[in-house]
Parts: sequence; C-alpha cells; structure tokens
Amino acid sequence: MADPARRLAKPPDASDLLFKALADPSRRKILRLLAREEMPLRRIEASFRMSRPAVIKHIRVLKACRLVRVRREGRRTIHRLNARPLRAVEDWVSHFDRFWDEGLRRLKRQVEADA
Amino acid sequence: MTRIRKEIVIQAPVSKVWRHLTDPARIAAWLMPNNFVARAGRAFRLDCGTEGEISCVLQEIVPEERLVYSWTSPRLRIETTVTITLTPMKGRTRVTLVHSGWDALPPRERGIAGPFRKGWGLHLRTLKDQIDRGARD
Repeated sequence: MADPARRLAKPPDASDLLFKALADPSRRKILRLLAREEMPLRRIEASFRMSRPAVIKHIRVLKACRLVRVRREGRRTIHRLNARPLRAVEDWVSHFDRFWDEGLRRLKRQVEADA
Repeated sequence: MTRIRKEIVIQAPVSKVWRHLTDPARIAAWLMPNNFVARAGRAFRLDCGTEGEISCVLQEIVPEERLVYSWTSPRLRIETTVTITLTPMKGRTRVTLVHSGWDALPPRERGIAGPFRKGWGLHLRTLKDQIDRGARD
C-alpha cells in the first residue's frame, strides 16, 4: 500500500499547467502552427481573429509551461514549439497504467489468500 | 493511449471479490487508506500519505457487479473516472478496470486529431507526428 502512494508521489512535472495550457483551442492552434515551422508573432497573429494582446496572452501561457520558446532575431521575436513537455500528459496515463497493474495484482493476491 | 483498461481473473467468486472492493479496511490493503462508503453519491478520499489525497465520489454501485467513481487530485486537475466491473466465470471472477476521462478535449478538437472517441493520447501523438513531419520538411 506504500507502493502506490509512492508512485503517485512522483507525478510528471508541471502537468497541471500543461493540462490547462492544452485545454484551450486557440492555444492548441498556436501549437499546430508552430509544429509546422517557427515564426514571428506577426504571423501567428495573422492566423487569428483575436487581438494582438489576446494572442500574446495565450503565448505567455504556452511559454510558462515551456511549450513555446522564443529567441530574438533583430527586431523580431521568433517563436518555436518545444514538444518535450507534451510527454508529461502521456506520462500521467502511463503512470496510472502501471499503478493499476500493480493494484490489481495486489487485489488478486489478497482475495485469493482470503480463505 | 486514451483510457486505461485492465483485466484480471481472480480465483474466487464475485461475492468475495466485491468485499475487497467495498470494505475500507480491505481496500486499504490493496489500494490505499481510505474512508470509502458504499453508497452512491458519497464522497471519499484515498490517502497518498505525504503526497496528499485522491478525491473520489462514488457515482454508481451495483452490488457484486459494478462500481464507478470519479477520481481526481490537486495535481491531476482533470476529473477522471474509474469503473470496475465484475463478471462471474464459474466460480471465478473477471475484474475489468477502466480508468477514463483522459480525453478532456472538446469534440470539435478531437475531430482534428482523429476519430471522435480518441482523446489526449491520439491528439498528442498527432501533434507529435506533425512536429516530426515539420522537422523533416
């Protein structure tokens, strides 16, 4: 019983931020845009009807969970996708996948030992 | 991997397996310390020690057949669902556990990722595929 608790003790980093970031369709659209190529803010903006500050706000959320990285190129800020944090979401699922494997094995042993 | 589905066959009748799924002391022995109450609508917690707890609400309870509870934690954020089904097999019991709710995406977005019922997993894989393709182009 200590074992599942310990497993749960190590959830993937920052996954709460990540889920929140991915929950928004506009932010997922930004990720898909950047999945094709890196681009400056102006080009990201051009794909949206929303205001520039709104787009910037979404990008800020994506930057906070490291899904988007930026670099300066002269006067432009180039945005690019960093896909690595996406692993954390999959990690949650595989985390519980293993957790239940072990849990059910324990249940089986326990029930079968219950004479 | 959008939902977790596990099956195990236990060499015991459903009545016995059921007791281990619904009695707090027995649940504690295979899962976690808890304050489970076998009544639909009741909230209970699973204690993960120093790491906090998992909050659950029992949504459905069909004696010796099915148990459904919501499952969330401050770290997990999204509300997931655990469904445990017992199937009698001539004195033995097949236990099927499904942990779902990982696909917190709205249907419209799921359409982009693929078939309607696929969720996060596929969506993320699709995104990754796109990324890989993007890298190659």
